[in-house]
Amino acid sequence: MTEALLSVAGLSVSYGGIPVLRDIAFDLAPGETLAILGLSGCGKSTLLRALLGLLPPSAHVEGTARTASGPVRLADRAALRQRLGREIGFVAQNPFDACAPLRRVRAHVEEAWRAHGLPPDAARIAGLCAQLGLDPATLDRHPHEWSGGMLQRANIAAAVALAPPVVLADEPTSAVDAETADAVMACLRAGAPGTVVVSHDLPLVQRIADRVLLIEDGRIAAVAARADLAADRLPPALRAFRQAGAVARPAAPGGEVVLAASGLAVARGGLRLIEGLDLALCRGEVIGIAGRSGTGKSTLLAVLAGALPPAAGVIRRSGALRPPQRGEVLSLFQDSLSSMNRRWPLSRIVAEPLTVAPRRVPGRARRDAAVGALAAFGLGHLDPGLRPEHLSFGQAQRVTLARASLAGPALVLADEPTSALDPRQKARALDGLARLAEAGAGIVLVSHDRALLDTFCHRTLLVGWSGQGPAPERSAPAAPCRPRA
Amino acid sequence: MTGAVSRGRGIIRALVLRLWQAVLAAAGASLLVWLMLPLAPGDPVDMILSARRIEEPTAEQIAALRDRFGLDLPFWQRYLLWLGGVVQGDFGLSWRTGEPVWDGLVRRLPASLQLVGLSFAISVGWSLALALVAARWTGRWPDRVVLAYTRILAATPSFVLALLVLQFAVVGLGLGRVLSGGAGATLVLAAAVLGIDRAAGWTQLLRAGLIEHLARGPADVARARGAGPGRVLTVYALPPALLPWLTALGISLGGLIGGAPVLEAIFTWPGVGQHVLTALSVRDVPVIQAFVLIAVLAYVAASLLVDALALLIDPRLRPEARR
Repeated sequence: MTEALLSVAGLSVSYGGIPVLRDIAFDLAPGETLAILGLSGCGKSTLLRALLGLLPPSAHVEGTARTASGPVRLADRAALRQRLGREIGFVAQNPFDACAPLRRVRAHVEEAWRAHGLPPDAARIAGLCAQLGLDPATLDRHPHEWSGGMLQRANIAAAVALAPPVVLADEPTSAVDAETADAVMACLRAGAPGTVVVSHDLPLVQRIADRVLLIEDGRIAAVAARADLAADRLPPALRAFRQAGAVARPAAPGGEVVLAASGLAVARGGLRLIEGLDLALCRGEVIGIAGRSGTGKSTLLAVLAGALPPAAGVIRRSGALRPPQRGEVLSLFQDSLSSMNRRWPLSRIVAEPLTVAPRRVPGRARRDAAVGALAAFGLGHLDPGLRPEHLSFGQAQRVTLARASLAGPALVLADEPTSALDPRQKARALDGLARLAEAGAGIVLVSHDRALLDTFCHRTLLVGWSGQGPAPERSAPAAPCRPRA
Repeated sequence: MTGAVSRGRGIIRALVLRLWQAVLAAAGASLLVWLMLPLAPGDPVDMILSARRIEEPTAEQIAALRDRFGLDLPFWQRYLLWLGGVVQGDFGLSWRTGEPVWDGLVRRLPASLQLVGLSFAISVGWSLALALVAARWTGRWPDRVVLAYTRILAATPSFVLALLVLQFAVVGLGLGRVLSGGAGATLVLAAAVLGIDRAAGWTQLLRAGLIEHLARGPADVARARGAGPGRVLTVYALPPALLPWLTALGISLGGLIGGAPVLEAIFTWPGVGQHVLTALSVRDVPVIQAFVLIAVLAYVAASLLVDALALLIDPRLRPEARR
């Protein structure tokens, strides 16, 4: 029997006597990819941060980890630090958040050596670039000049630079698109003999993991081997986890066409990204837009919103050639917090659509409407005087949905609204989106989540299919649009 | 390669733009400074005479003054003449002494620059050191001491601090002299008072920035690579936290020159400040105009310097980086 690359025993974390993680133990075998799966707040990130000594001093940490050079108490941060980078590598969730924006990407990779006072090994960096498909010349650029997928590869290069036997990764692909995600994941698994991936994405875990630990309420709720990950053989606990993310498609659409585009072309920086797009969206309908990063999905949304002019073609809104009216179009973003004024209380954020004509109502009625809308989107337990900084990602996205519902928009443009959410949060957000559709909004949903597009949208367009020609429709409309005469 | 060239050009273009803005700001300030003149009540001739303590002038004296100071010319012509002189370093004649304003200022400027420079260096070093100590041991006793200290000091007016220092260091311990006339020990005392007083607010600003960046992703990732707390603090938290701190520094640097007169008076330091106070008391307008203009130019130059430093530190501020 071969020695485990990493053995964790008796790992418990508590804050002021309140336990967050209880008695976690697992081994990582050579060549294994272990997935740690769980909903937001279950303790899976705490688990990872405990292994890296990143928990705040107020955390009480117990337990040991056995790495290449023997066991170490996880509470002994100084001893643990000596092993970080050398015996345990780390890849963070969001590559842009992981890299210091003022430093070049090369400095970020070299940190693996400099953190331990070692001179960087130029030959090793060149070798890693070749292995991970990075252009060594681009290392001297700053992170904001990189794409997310490439920057995540640079992060992997930094994580495996000192050849640690184990790499821990915190949702390493949630910030990159689906096509890039598989390549990033392949790089990650090739970079080190053993990999631990923390995720809330069951389909991803099913693709890559040799073994899965499901964490619920700070404990290991289930362990499943690869053979048990096939959809029809999932253990009950994992099946329940999958069910948490299931959503129903909104009811069959019908009625007035709210948005009709013909011969639409979209360009950014003089480059034509999408050409010859014909699109008709009626009330209650959800159209999905899929495509790789950089193919113009977000630019298309900006054109549909009337924020950018189309490079060619025409857009009719509710049958007329005119710019959108106030409250007619509403946008939802992946980072919903950035679409809120952080100094405003929730009641004011949610009721903002009621401050402009023709929906203007007096202050007291606005507050009541905000409270009602928050309750309708499952946020009735929140204090309407709360500031957005206290919201979770999932709650923040539902706040923007509640705000959209008060605007009563004809068209909702959603750009990756669920990609930062765990299955349960995602189900609630999609439920809110379905509610908007049933209230009569036509929805354009940009996502790189295939399963979501296939199950939630009535039709899906794949843009940037071959870089030229009209975009093909991937699936037939589930319910045909019936334009009103 | 082209990337590096266009990056370099981007920085230069941004700097040239800032330089233009600085020139415009200086020109605008000169006009405002000149407009102070008619706001002062009374005929300039009367003011000149009163500045010279001449109670009952003769008609010849008045005519000679009008001729000498060009007071018969229209307002805008006098402004252009003045501006033309200023560009060549000629700020006109002092109403009080009749000697060139520039000579009177230049003679005293080195002493003031010494004071301002030393106090600025003291406050930069002091606030940097205090903030780093506080952020390195956030929430522990060094941080609490620094916080308490900065709060007390930020709430203390600088002249109170100056008088306390005079009382304890000069009268009590016999360091320096109360009436200095330019002695070195007094320079250090005055500079320390000016500098330590300014440092309090800057320390709070830098400490908050450091703590914020210590909690961000890049710092965590560096820790996960095995970097120790000192390295995380100086390499990952300090550079981004410097940006707002430098801006505050630049704003204060201009104010430091403008604020020197009060402290120079307390420490009887023979700098520009004393000269300007005298000019203020007798309404010697050309001297005041020149001093205000110099203070404004110092302010504009400091902002320019800060902008240039920010461009060097943060690549995202460079024009071609905007998306």
